[in-house]
Amino acid sequence: MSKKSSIAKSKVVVFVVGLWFFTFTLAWGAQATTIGDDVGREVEIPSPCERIISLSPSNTEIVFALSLGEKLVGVTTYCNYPEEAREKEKVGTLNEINLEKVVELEPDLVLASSLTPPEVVERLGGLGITVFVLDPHSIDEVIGDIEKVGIISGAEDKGQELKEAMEQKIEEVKSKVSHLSPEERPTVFHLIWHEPLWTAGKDTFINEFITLAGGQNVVADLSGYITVDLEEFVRRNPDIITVVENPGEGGDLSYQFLLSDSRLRVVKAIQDHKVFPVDGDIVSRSGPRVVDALYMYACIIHPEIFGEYEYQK
Amino acid sequence: MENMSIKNKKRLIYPGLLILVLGSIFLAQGFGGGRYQISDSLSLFSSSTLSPSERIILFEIRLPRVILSFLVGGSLSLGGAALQGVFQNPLVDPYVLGISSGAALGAVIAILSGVYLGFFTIPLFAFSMALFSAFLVFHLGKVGKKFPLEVLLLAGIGVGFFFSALVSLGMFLAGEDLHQLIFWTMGGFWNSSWREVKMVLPFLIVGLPVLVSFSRELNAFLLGEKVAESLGVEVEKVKKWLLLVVSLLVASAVAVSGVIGFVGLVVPHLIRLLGIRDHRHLLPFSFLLGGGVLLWADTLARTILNPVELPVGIITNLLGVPFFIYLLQKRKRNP
Repeated sequence: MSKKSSIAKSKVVVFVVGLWFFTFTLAWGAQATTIGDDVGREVEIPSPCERIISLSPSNTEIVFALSLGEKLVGVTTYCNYPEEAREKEKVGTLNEINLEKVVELEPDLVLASSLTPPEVVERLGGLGITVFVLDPHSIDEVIGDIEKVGIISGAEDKGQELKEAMEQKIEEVKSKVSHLSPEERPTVFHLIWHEPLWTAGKDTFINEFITLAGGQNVVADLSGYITVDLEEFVRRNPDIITVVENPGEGGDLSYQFLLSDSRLRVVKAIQDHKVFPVDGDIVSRSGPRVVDALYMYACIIHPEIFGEYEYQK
Repeated sequence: MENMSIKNKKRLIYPGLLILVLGSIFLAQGFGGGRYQISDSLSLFSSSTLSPSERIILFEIRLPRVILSFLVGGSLSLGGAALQGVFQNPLVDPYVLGISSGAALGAVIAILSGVYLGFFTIPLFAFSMALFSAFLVFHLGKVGKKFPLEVLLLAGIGVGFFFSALVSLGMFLAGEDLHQLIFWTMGGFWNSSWREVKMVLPFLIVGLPVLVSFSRELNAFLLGEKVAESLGVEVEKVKKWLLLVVSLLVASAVAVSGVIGFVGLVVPHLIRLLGIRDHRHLLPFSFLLGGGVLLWADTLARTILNPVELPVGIITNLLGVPFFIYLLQKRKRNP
């Protein structure tokens, strides 16, 4: 008998405690909202959000695109776009962050990236600084992240506006190539570095650009960023080659290699003069310029639809 | 009796190694696209039916790569065998004079400065810096008119560490160019063509006979420098020549392939395990076997994950280290 009543009692206790927790979280949730970042952390939205630090070039581009450049107080040494970003205070490189500097700048919000060491994220969080980690893996995720950064930094409307503009541009490209048959979709090889041939397979932004722009990645059977054999490259014989150039640092060695190595003259893209340098910053950053990158690929792959591609140094 | 069997062994080893090498080249030529095709191997003898792109793949991409990996492997283990003889130290490898870190620094400078003088830019920088570091080691290791071995060894280690530190600094500052430096230091025959073969070959054509011509002196070194001197060997002069020739040989090999470890260290030991310590045979055998080993390591590197390709330096290290440990264990058992 006594056993039964104690069970009943404990049931009541559980119920009351549960109810108490429920109402508490409801009340608490109404005051401060949280938002999930790309590595599964729930991040409290800071208010006010007047001082922002960006730990990657793409995050910096997002902040500027949301017209929050004024609030940006710290960036990395790689942040070179837009031009104003160069004048901001530097807090480190991509993976070497000067923690003291970050704390000293008293940020309300730190935008980290997949390259930010997790222990840096943890330590900053432990110091009571709001850290939001961005790690998008597709164009859609980039747009989602821009929307989230808009919400978390109090620029929700601007974020929404940017999102719609980007989606519209993507739709435009998609609809213009949708009628193409597989034979009308040329094969593309993207060269990041030539020694060894380093390229992008599926599950990369490059692959998405090529596919959405009405082309076929010639190494779509491989995954991620990989090095391939020179003979395999010749065997796959792409119609078009895009090659990364890093402006400033004399970074056109790979382009030189493609054009000067006489063995490669059997490759279709090189015979047809379809080797296009692309700006490494634009095609490799998961920021608002992904749609520019997509449009570049559209011009490279289908100039008859989108107009001739022009490379700007 | 014992002499007899060694003589017999040698009689077998020369043609044996030669057949092994030619057979390896024949077989390696058949590996491509992740599988073996006898028709690709046979194309070495008749190539009339090939399409232009097949011809490029087989004769401008694959064959020079097979030949180059053989020549580089041969140069490294020839250099290793000669240096182990000079230093009378089994742990010496062809990079002991700081050549690998010098070459790596040269490549780092070439890549980071973005200088482009043609396809040979990186090899040229690497080769010059490798020779510069060897020169620096000679200079630091010189005491009066002599080159005491332990001083040379220490100077080599010191210069090597210093240049490695500069390479690390370059990597740290490289930012977006970092991957290029890392690829280079891992070593590989990615885009090898006949041009690289032509860069290495002259050094070998001169280096191999010159080194073999010093066999008698190297044999005397086995008994120690003092004994060698009492046997009438001009110790300092021999050392100078050997180090110079090996430096040129190894620098040219490193310049076209990056830093490939363990071949130059381990292969001469393999030959010694066969009971051959006479440098007249040890040197040419090391050349042939070293070439064969690197040729197969590179074939593995380009086949095993095809069409993705591995840096051959990783393969030689992976295969070299277990062997190295085996040598150590053996040494522990009978010191």
